[in-house]
Amino acid sequence: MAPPALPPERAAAQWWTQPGAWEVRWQLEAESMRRDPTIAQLSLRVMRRMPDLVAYARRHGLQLWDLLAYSANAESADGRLRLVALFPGHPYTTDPEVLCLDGPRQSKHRNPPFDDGVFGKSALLCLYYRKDPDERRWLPEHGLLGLFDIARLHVANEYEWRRTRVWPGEDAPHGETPPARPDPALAVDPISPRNTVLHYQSPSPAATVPTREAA
Amino acid sequence: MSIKTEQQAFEHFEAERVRVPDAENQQARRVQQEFRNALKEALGGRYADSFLAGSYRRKTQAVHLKDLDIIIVLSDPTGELRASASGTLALMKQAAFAYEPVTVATTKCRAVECELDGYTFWADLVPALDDGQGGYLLAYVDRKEGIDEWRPADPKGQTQACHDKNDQTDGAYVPVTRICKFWNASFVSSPDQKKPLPSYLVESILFDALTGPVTWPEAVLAFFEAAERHLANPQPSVLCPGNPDAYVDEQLDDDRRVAALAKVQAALVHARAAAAQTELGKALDEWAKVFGPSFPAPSTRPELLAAALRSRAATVVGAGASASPAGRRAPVVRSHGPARPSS
Repeated sequence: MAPPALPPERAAAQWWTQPGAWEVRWQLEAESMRRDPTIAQLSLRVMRRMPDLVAYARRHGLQLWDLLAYSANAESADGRLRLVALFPGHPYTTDPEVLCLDGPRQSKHRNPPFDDGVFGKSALLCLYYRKDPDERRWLPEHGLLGLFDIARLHVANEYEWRRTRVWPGEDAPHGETPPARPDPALAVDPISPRNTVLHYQSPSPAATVPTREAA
Repeated sequence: MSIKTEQQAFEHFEAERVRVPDAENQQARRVQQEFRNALKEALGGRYADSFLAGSYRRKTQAVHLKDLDIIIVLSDPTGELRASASGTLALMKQAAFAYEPVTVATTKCRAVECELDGYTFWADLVPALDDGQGGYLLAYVDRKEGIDEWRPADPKGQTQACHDKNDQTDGAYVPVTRICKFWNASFVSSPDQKKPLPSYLVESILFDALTGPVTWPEAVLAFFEAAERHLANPQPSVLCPGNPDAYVDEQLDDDRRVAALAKVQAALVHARAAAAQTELGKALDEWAKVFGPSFPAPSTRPELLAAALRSRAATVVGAGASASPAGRRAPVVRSHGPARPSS
């Protein structure tokens, strides 16, 4: 007898358990973990001890074991902050989420749900405007390292914003806003490009991997 | 604050960035008391006493509390518990659920590890028996090796040794232990990862390195010097502060020892450079290379990083944002946020 079908949100979150997903995980992890050995995939045992993660899963109708999650540190003027990156869907179609578990939570750029009903007070970082051109967003070829580095700069911006009420880096107006002008010169070199031998040898051709454009 | 000495910089760093936050300590104080009360009630006549042990009791955990070690001394007039350490651990596991926040209890070789709903730390319940001579016996079970026994131990000895050393060093030992653990933990982000040195080995190396009153920067340098000496030696050489007959590094395998030695030597370069500096700012900059951007130094001034963030010149060095042009470039993004609801 076939097992009962999972609710769609749980099925989407479990993308990383499906055949072929290991190549995408390799792209996210291998080079990033080589360059930054502090990056770790979170086990269920560790996730259970992170109340923000437990709340995230509950809010989205997920079990913790559905989630592909990684941790890294951000060393900042606020001290050592634990960052957690979540991939609630395939990273070629769904943007990852990054939570900052420590330090002050009030910020100019954090996502709801907000603590105590205070606008901007949460664990969920709003790292980039998702409608901006590719060179101004995180892409899977930046790997986990690129994602955590964006978050490390984000928390540095937050420290300065709390100190001076000025966000020193670039930011987009809140809510719906026109995307930034394309500027390919801003692109950083990918650390894990997709056209690797691994993808070439893949039994499921790279072309079948869903793309952001198709989504 | 205006920092005029290296000692002041270390004190500021320890108080603001290294020490476990008050709120977490208050939670832990409440949890351990409630847990002990619940166990007393659940165990009834089996309960004789309980006390705290481990790094929580010694106040040597850094940044966050990881676990609370609670020793539960059991009454065993019939010798039933003495006959089976594994049976006693099973009894302890059953009793653990008397405390409502416990969601998962896992039997380890010496203790029952209890996960607590809504808390970031967990509690280890360690069953103990009175040995009749003023000491304790602790359970030890290793099913793979077929071991199921009680072993003599002195859980209060480590705590006493820590307090004595702190007095002997005019209060330097405990906070400097936390600072050294902060460094040791900078190489990992998850409790599943192995730090360069086991935490208790950090405490024991520093214990061995300090013999009297000392400034904190001197104590940290002494730690790295002693760590290099011990790790370069393939034979166990670090004695347990609470039990001078045991070596703390006996189980340290060669791969881990060699990898830890490399990290200690890298830190030692900067610690020695800081000690050799006559200019305060340059000494602090060397220490910032060991402890990262949260250490107060000219190179970690917020204004420097803010200017780099404004001009898109900020990079990432190690795990922190930096004004150094030599760091990694991250994708240039525009931070964003949801629309503010109209009031």
